Amino acid sequence: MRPYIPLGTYLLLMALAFVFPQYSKLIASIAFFMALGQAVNIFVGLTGYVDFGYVAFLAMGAYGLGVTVYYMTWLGILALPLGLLLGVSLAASLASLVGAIALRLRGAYFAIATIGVNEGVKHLIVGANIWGGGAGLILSSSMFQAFGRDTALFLANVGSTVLILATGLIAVVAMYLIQASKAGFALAAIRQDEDAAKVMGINPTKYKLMAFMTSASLSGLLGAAYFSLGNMQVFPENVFFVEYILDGLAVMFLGGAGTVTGPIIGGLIYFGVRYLVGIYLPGLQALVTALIVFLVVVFMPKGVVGTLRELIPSLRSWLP
Amino acid sequence: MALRVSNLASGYGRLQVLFGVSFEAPSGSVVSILGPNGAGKTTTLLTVMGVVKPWDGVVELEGVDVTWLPPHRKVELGISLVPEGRRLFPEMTVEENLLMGAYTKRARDKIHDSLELVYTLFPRLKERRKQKAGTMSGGEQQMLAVARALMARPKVLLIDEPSAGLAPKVVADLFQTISQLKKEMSVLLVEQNVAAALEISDYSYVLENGRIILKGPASELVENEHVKKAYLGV
Repeated sequence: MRPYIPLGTYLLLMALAFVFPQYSKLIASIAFFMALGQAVNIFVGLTGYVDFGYVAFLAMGAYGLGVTVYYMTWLGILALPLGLLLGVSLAASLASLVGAIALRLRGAYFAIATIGVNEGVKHLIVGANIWGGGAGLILSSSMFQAFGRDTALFLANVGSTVLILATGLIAVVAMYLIQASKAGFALAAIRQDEDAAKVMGINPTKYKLMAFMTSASLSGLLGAAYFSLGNMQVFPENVFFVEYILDGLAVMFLGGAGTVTGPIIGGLIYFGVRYLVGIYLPGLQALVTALIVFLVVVFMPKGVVGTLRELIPSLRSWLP
Repeated sequence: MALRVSNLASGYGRLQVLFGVSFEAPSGSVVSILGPNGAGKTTTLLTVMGVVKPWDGVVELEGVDVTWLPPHRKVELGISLVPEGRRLFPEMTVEENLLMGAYTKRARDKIHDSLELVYTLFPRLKERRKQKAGTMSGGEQQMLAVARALMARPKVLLIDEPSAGLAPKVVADLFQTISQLKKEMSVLLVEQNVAAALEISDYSYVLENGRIILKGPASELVENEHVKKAYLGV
């Protein structure tokens, strides 16, 4: 397995964000799709389960960092690592809670059981009026205070982009580690036939939960980097926006579910298509998402990477 | 006694399928559970395995109560199931399927030894070891399903309907191999193909409507009037 393409892409984009800070936001938009696809892939691609309440994990990450910076300005620059840690922990905890109950269900039943999670958590925050309630958290002045003006602006511009790219990079490493380990085989067996996996001595719930929590933690990190750090604000309407899971699924299927490079290539193509549609057919991006998912699932179920690997076997080691 | 099951009851939702089933499978023998469609044969194996939760009764493995353990713990302790319909991992090669069979710690330590063993039992699998499991013939797939279960190094091997959908000649070969397995373990066979099953069984139980209605050495059951009339068509 040659990890040059996934690692090279992320490192190159990181370097570009540093050298050309004026393009940092553009790179962040591309990287967001790549990293989201990558995180979704660790759960959906490896287990074959779909979670429609998934966006709540992005939101948990965003709120973790947002709340820390907003309410604990006195932490100074420490608010950043501590806030990220809180965001990831919130996402992982929510995943363990949802997973421990719902992952005992099979495929479609799991998807249905999780539909309400995203809206449920959102209405908890808005309804109970905690963490800024429906008005959200505007972080710019807290960030200026905590980090200093120049540092805050640098973190919001280049810092958030690098963190989004780092999330993708961590996801690549996580994917390698899982696939090379015993857990990778267990998940492959579960995906192909869960009942058979059970009688092989595999505890399916354990491995599904592991993949779910890893995926959720990465999404938490992504949500913190993109919304709180990058936009300097956390609005419930934005961070619980249910379409992000459709984006994540589209990127993953487009690139190739269960592959390491799939979401990277999928993210690049997906961003490109949405960008062009935004220019020529403004307002129709959401329609394009639906169309892409439909066409890919019907005509190219293994995605771009999966199909390329099948057509040109020598590419296999280059496109893990 | 390798496997002793007493008064086992279970079902799905509110539908009870087994009404107090008891049987024994000593090591060094092939024991079969025979019966018509819907009698509860597969449910019996799934309940023993823990895939279907027991409602009542006791499952003992070598004298230890394992009734309430989940399937993955039972595999570790030495019960292995060849599921109905084979249930191979279709996208994995023959060898990968076999390696999956040796998933538990205890089995992994003996993995090379086990591979050699199953390749000796089923030389055809060795020839096909790089082939995707889903692309093989029915007979070969059934061999692989049995071999995969053997990779877990079971003390008790449960086999569910191995003859389903196979040509008589293939069934005969497969059953020949199954009857050899009893040297190392206890084999519990569930079958609709009563004639073939009785031929290799030491002891048999007849299950109808979730209850054992007949039992005895296979050689005696062959002569039983009910068995003859209902199952052997003579």
